[in-house]
Amino acid sequence: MRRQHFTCIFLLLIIVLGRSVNVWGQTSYEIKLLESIKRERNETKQFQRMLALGEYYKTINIHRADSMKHVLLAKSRIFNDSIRFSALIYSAEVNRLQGNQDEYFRDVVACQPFLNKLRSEEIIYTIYHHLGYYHSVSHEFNTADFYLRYASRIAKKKRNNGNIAENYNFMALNFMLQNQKDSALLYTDLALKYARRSSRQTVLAESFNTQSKVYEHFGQVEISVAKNILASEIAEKAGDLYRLAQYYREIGMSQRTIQNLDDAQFYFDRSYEYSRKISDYRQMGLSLINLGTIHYDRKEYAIAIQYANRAMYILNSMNDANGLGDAYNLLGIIYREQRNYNKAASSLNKALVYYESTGNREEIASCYHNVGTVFQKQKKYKNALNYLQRSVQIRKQFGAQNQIFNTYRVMSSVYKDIGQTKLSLEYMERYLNFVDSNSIVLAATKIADLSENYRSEQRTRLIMSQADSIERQKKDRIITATKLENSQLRNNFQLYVLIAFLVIAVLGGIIGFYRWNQTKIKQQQREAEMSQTLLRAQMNPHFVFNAMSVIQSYIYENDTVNSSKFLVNFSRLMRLILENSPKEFIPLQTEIEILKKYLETQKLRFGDRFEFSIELAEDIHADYAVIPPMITQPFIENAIEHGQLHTITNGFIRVAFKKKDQLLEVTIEDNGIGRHLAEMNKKGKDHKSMAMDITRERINNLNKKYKTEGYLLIEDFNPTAKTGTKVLISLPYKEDNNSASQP
Amino acid sequence: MKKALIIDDEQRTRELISKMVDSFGFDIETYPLGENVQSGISLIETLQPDIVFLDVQMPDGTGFEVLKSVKHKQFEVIFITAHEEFAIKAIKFSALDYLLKPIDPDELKAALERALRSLDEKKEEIQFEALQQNIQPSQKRKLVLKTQESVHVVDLEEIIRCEADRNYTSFHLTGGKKILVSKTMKEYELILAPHHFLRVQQSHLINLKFVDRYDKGNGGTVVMKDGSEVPLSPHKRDLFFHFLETL
Repeated sequence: MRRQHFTCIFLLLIIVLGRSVNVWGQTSYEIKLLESIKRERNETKQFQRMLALGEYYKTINIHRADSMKHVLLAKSRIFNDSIRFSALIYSAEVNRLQGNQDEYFRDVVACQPFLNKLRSEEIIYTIYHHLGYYHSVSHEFNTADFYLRYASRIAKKKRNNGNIAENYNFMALNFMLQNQKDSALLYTDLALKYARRSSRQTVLAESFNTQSKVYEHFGQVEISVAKNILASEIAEKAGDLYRLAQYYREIGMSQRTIQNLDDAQFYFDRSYEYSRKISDYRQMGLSLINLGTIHYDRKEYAIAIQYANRAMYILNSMNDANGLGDAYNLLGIIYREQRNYNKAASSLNKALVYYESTGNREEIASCYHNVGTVFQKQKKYKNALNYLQRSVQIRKQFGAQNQIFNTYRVMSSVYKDIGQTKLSLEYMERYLNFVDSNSIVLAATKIADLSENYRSEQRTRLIMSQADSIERQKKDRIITATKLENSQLRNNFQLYVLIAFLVIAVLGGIIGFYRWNQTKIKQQQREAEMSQTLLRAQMNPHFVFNAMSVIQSYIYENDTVNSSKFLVNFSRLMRLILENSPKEFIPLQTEIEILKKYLETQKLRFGDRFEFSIELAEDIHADYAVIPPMITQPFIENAIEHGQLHTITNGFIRVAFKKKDQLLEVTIEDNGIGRHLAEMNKKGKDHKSMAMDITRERINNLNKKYKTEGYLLIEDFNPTAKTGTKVLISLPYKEDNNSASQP
Repeated sequence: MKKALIIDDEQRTRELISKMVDSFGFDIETYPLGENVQSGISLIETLQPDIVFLDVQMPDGTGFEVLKSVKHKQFEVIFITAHEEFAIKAIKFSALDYLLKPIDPDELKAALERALRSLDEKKEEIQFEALQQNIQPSQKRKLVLKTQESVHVVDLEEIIRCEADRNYTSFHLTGGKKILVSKTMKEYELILAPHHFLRVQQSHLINLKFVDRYDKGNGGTVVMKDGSEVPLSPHKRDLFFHFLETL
């Protein structure tokens, strides 16, 4: 009847589990991995994908991870050593997670031959690390110490902070099992130090958990709880449900030790829930046993038995000897309290068988203690004392000191029962001494006021761990900032160099342009001045106003025809000069017209007292040939005004244009008084022919510009009489079709 | 009957002036004969004219050469010029008359009237001497100041300041000399301005070389080296100090 009931509950449980497994089985990451495994043709890669899937299962579904373990082990046989090794290590870790110590140790031992095959330090570390743990649990502490120290050296060499911390945790546990509290705590501190530097949150959680285990082992329950709370918080953040379930169960056990049953139940419930979520059947079973103990403590024996049975179903399927031992151990004490001593003894015997199969001496001692209590109840005092003594012996040898005192208390009561007051008192004293020293009872009272401290410690620890991570981030940020700054500095430097270069280039450009502009402006200025002086020379005010005076004279004579003729002629000349003098070149035709007009005006001024002629060589195209404007005019003016042509009989002036090679030769001849006489007339006066200077400069400019060898030559027209003047102007001969149309 | 000789290298101009003078109806006989420097000199010597119209620029020289060469200097000269700026300045310094081509008959008439008025004074020689100096660019300028009674030739270094009095201008010279001329100060300002003279106020033209100090009182006063005080117009303040610095 009861069994059927349990079966129903179990079936229900399985259905619920199955559903939850389905829910978990539908994660996108898992699907992706599965599909990639199916698609992968390369067997090595396929195996690696499967291993990755297995690793993934380790965090979300221990049961599937276990199934994967078998598949991987089978498949790895066809591959090389490194793959076979990775499969073996995977198997070992899954077994450890499941609490399957036998399988775990078998796998670790199986790893040993790979030490010689694979010379990778990473693999050596892994093997030594696990071997250390194996020997530690096997109470071969020196061997364990050797392997773990060796593993530590490799991890430190590799600067793998996670591995260092992980290994220090095992070392701390090794010292703990040797009851060396200080060394154990030292290594947990070291482990924490390195775990904080590592990015692996699980290692940090494990380190806190190890610390918790050490404190628990040495009876400092309060600190143990605080440490485990820290561990569980980190595990929760990391989403490590396996560890969360484990830590919660441990917290629950600690709470139970100080008889804080409600809290203990809460943590066991949570542990069970988390284990169920990731299909960690072993932990589920263990949680159920823990819940059973809570109900046992509350003397709710029926419920406690239910939990123990549920645990046994699960653990039986897992072949978890220790778990089954726990379950039977629980049942044993329940039956004892129910005064069902036969059942109790049978249960405890079964527990003993399981414990002995795994060599779990601590629990064997516990079992002996319980058997002793059963015999005490049965008033079989001799047997009772026998079992109790064995328990004490075992515990003295290996186990936790903190559990002996309970046995002393029981032994004291047994001796009391058999009337041996002296021994009873002796054992009571031992019990009290232990209580005094370790003060478990006091701890219960202390915990209330101490819990505040723990919480604050917890907080400071958290703050520290956060501060650490913040500091790490800060460092990273500083490093990246300095890197960035460096690159920025470099960039800035480059930028400054570039800017400086650009500024210099721009300045240079500006200066260059300015200078060029300046010279250009100067050139233009000189040209402008030149053209102005030219204009001034050509539009000689003396000539202009004298000419006007001539017009005035015609008007006074009422000579309308001549005054009009002169005025028109003079106006035309003025217009031609004004229009053409700013130009560099004008058509030869225009130049000749200007000369004609000028000579006619002068002739009118001086009353037709000289003749003039302008000759043009046949090989010159007057329509196309160009000439600097009025280059000959100053010499003609000189001939008339200073050569006093009007005073000479048959005075003449002849202008001739000829072409010689690439030069245009212009000759101006007159039979005036000549240069010498003219100079004598002006003696004592600072007279320099401005016309000559201007013309020379113009010719020089043309020579520079057109790379010609033009010149100005002045000589006497009649060398013997030294009278008259002959001016020879040589210019570059140029033709310009565009200029031809101009007037 | 006064004789007027016209010296110009253009026959048409000579004839034009002659016709113009004739048209005024003065008691003047014109001789439009001088066609260059040489003929001009000989004509002056032989004709001994009362008035000479003298072209400044001629093919064989200037009118100034004519004046320099002639022995007979008892005549009034009226220069005729087309454009020669330098010559005009020298003529003005020497307080002589000139006409610009083409000739304005009204100006010609006024010049003739002035010449006829001063015919008796016979002071031309001093002016001609001053002119000869004034046409030399390297020589110190001499300013001719004609009064009713006499003709004064003063160095520019002698003039401390001028003061305007309607159409008269009084010259204050070194040694406390004071000359009153019947010409507006505007005329003198034009020719003296390039020679360190500045009109510091409406009626005061000063020689900057004789400035002793500047007093800020009374809205600014310039104290000359002879102790006389001249008000400084606020508008001329900057110019005054600028010229003083560059002096």
